[in-house]
Amino acid sequence: MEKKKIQYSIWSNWKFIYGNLFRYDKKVVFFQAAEVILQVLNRLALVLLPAAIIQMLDMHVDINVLARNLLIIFLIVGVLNGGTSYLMGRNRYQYIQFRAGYMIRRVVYKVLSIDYVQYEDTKIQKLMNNALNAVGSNGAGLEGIIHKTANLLVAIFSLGIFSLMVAKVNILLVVLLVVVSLIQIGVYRLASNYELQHSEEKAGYRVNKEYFNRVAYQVNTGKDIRLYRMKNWLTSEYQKANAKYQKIVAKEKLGYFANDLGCLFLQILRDGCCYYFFIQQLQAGMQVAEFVLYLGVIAGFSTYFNQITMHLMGFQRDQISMEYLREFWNMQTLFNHGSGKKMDPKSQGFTVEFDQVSFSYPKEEGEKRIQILDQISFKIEAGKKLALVGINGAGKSTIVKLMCGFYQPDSGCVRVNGVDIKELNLDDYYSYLAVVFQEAFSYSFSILENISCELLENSDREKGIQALKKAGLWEKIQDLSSQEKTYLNKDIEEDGIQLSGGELQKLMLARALYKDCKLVLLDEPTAALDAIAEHEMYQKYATVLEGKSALFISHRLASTRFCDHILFLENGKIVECGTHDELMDHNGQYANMFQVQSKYYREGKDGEAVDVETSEELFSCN
Amino acid sequence: MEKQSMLKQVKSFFRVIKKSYPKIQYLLVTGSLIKAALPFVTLFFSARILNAFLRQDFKYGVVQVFIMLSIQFIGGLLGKACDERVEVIHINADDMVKSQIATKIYEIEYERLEEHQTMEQLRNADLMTRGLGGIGYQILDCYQIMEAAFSILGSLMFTALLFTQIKGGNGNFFCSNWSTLILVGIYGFVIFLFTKNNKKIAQVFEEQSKGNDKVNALAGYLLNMMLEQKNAKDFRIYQMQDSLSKRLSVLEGEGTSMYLNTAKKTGFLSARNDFLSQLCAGAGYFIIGAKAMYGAISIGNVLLYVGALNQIITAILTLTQIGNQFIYRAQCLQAYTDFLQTPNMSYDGTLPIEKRADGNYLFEFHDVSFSYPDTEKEIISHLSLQFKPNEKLAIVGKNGAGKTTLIKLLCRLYEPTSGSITLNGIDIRKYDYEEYVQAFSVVFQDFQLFSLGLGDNIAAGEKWKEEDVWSSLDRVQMKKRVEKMPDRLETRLYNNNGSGVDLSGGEAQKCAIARALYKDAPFVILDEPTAALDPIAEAEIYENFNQMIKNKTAVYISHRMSSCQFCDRIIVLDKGKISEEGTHDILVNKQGIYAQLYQMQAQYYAS
Repeated sequence: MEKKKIQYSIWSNWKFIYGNLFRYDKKVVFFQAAEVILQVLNRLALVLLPAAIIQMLDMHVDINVLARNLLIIFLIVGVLNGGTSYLMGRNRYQYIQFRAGYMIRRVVYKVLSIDYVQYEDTKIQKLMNNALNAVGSNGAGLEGIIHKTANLLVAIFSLGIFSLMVAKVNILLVVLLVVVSLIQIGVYRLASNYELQHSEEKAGYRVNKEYFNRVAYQVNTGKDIRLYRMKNWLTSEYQKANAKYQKIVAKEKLGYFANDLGCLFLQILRDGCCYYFFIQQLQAGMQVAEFVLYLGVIAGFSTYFNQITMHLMGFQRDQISMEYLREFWNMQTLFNHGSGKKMDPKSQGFTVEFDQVSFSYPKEEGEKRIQILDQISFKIEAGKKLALVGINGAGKSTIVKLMCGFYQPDSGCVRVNGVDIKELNLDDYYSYLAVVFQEAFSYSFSILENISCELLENSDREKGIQALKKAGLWEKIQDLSSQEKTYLNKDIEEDGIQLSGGELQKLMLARALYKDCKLVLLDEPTAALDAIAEHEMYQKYATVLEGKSALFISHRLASTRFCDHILFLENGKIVECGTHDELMDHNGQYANMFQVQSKYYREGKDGEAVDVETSEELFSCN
Repeated sequence: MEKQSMLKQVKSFFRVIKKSYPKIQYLLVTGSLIKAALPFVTLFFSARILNAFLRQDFKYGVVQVFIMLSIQFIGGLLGKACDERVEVIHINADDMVKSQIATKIYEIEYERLEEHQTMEQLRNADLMTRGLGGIGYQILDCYQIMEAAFSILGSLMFTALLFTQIKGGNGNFFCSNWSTLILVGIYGFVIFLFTKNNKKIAQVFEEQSKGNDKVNALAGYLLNMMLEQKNAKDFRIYQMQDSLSKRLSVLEGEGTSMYLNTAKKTGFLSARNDFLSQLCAGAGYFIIGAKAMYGAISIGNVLLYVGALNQIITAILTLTQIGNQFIYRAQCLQAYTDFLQTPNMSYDGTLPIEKRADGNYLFEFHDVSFSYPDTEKEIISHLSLQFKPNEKLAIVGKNGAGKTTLIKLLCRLYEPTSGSITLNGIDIRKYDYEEYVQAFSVVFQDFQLFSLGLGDNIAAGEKWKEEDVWSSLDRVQMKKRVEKMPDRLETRLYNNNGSGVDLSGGEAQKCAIARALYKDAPFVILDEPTAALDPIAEAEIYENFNQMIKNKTAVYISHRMSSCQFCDRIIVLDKGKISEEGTHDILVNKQGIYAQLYQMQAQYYAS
């Protein structure tokens, strides 16, 4: 992977983070400033304290004076210390709240709001995950910067004060300390560079580990794992991933250990030099109390110097996180959402027209684009039903996605009520569009909320009940004690109910009906149902979709009977189109497929395969 | 699950860790001892150095400096070495325990796996330990607790030493043991207040986390579902962005004030701790300083004794802070260790399966009933059935009739609540489970392929015969597709375990069927495996399949009545019972459920 370029400076990130923090709660910023000031004073007091006491003892002050001075000193230190503690505790939770409550919500909202074509893009998926990671932990990313900013300020102020103090004694000593610290930083960089260089690789192995962990927890993998005796295989793959990860970790830690040794050596050397210098000073008449003070100052100096560099390096890592977050945060949607042309609310069913539409999925660079749809033209007239038939991979679902405005065609155009879908206001368009996919998912909210896709207080109960009645689900629901307010699934409410596959499809239908839609797209909604439930759904579709325009995809050719028009799709082209009878008469691919499926249902059941020659000739479609 | 003592919990946790790191205890003891001792060394020599300088004895002072720096160097070196090892173990512990758990999950009875409770406990443990930084932190915390304990010991030693320093001062109060005793009393009192405060802090946290349980569960569900890829289309079409975001605002709304209140309360309590400990230190300096003033001890030693005394406060602060977390985490980890200790199978036999070339395996259900634990409803009810060798059997019925449950019983994924299942006359529980499952090639409706190599997936393992894998793929018409993949059989499937190749639903089904063919077991079960296939592919698979498994026993479950016609016998299940049985011709004329199901589909095809 290419190295991430830093687009946003630390200043810009500070502005971004503190701007948002300020919007979240103005007070937090001031509390953080107070925390920094108290911490600096606290650290200063820590060095001054032993020196002051030695001073007093060395001077043999009166016992009462000693008592009084100590009381004053420790009251001040106690207040400083306690204050720091209080502010740290308070602020820490505010940061978490800000990140988890405020920032995560906004990032997730963005995830839901970007265009589907963006959402599906693997690059954007990665960006999205990285952006979520940036707001996903306490110590790193966004919150990491907040913590490090406070710590950095404390270290910088303390270092400034301590430098001045040392410089007063001997400016050369400051030079020595800076040089030693710089060497330490150099050594540390070596170690941390190794970590940085391998972070991508580590992230890869982390994905593997997480995958195997997830697999284990998925109950539905359990059957296959047992019956195919996959235990050893999966365990060994898991351990392989672990071992690779651990190898890097071991090397990384060895690097830090070497760094620690280097630092230890330098520290002892530095202390040796300082002792040498100050012992000379003592011999020249320096006070022992002063000596104690300076030893403390020197230790502090190195600590703060190291802290500053550590924090700055930490910033580098957090900056990369922030890059992802900011890039995602600032991402623009490709299609019209708030603006664009609106639909005419009076039209009963929409007309949809594909005009010479070609489409291929965007691929990674270097790979060939695979043509999915090749200059397709067809039209759904207002209030008519169109069936889309073809083998797997013929491009049926892509047509649905184009109609949803998830993708835009490479060439040609999709028109709804005569307007190019590119110019439509998608938000407005969606309020008239309903889509039911093969995998139906219910959410663990109340039934009404599942249908209205809104919060309960914003849902129209009457409308919901009407939709449920039409979908044939009300009979079951009216007997429940909480009726339409009954929760589904057990994730949130323990007495939530579970719907069967057939009921779930009815729920999906009710959701489409609640919307009072004018265009319905049904993408293999009955594949998992038994024959009776399937039949029931077909009948529902035929009656409740009266007057609405609809597109229907199904492998069960029988179901196409309730459609006005059938398109047979092959390799991204329309090979045949017409009514069922026309296509059967034409005796082409559709007829062939129908024969294959129906031969066992024929009277007499001779089971002879009716091999029909594949028609190469194109059936005219306009 | 009974609550075990903390010590037992910690012990059982370390037993798990010791599987990979048998000598961890020596490492922890050595490291923590050295790290606890170093501050005392520094205090001790600093006092000597100071005293030397105060009496202007520079030569002695320089020697002491030299000794101190040497010890600091060597001790630091050893300490860091231990730290490095512990750090590595801390990072790896998470993976180690998790992979042990994963393996265990693969081993336990399927029925237990399906129990909501089992996985829920593990998931909760995972969530909670993650919240506490991960499993490895238990080791780090233990390391710190040991260091704190050694530190307290050191501190007590120096305090005892202080009692011997009573020379001079002629019975002056500060030079007597009374003052020392009072000092010890003050420290004791403050430590007492300390622990009380910390208990309060723990209480506040507990209250908060309890009050937050529901919010957390809701937020967890919402975040998961909002980020779930399969929901993305619906969210957009049904414009759920705003309503979902409003739901998520529970995190921001109720949570905030509660969090802030907790933060303020705990912040105030720890501020009180810090204030008290400073006053305590002040008292220490005063009494010990006075001792120095009256000549009982040297001035340099004031820093030594006060420093040593204050170590106890620091150590106790660490202990209480980490201790609560440590105990809480130990309870969470209990779920792991308990799980690892449970036996795999409540009953497992030892008999091997007879290897027969003729595939002459006779499976029989004798009056079998099954209902889920703690439920009344019988999913399978007093069912008797014979699977004759080499017979092709179709099982038909509405959704929820018990078809898949029947298969699960046969494969020993479930155990009958009553009745028994036999293989060649012997109860199937008497066979060794690993051996028993060798007899089946099953394709379940919700079959799973893994994001690993395609060849590995087909062979369900790492070792495979290339030839056989290709021929299995060929038989399901996947060979051409795989030949076009970048690494052919080595190609990784899907993208959720690193980059790989995506399969469509139909292709995945074909691969799952190829896996069943590769296994080449005498008993083949297809549970609605072609729902995602187009009619042509579906017909081809069924026709080929019949050819492929000529000499095997086979069971088909399908909603497509057409597929039943290949079968020698059809069984119709209704409410866990066999309601009809016979060939297609017999059943279709019987006007029962089968005829009804068949007509339902056939009417569309009547020409």
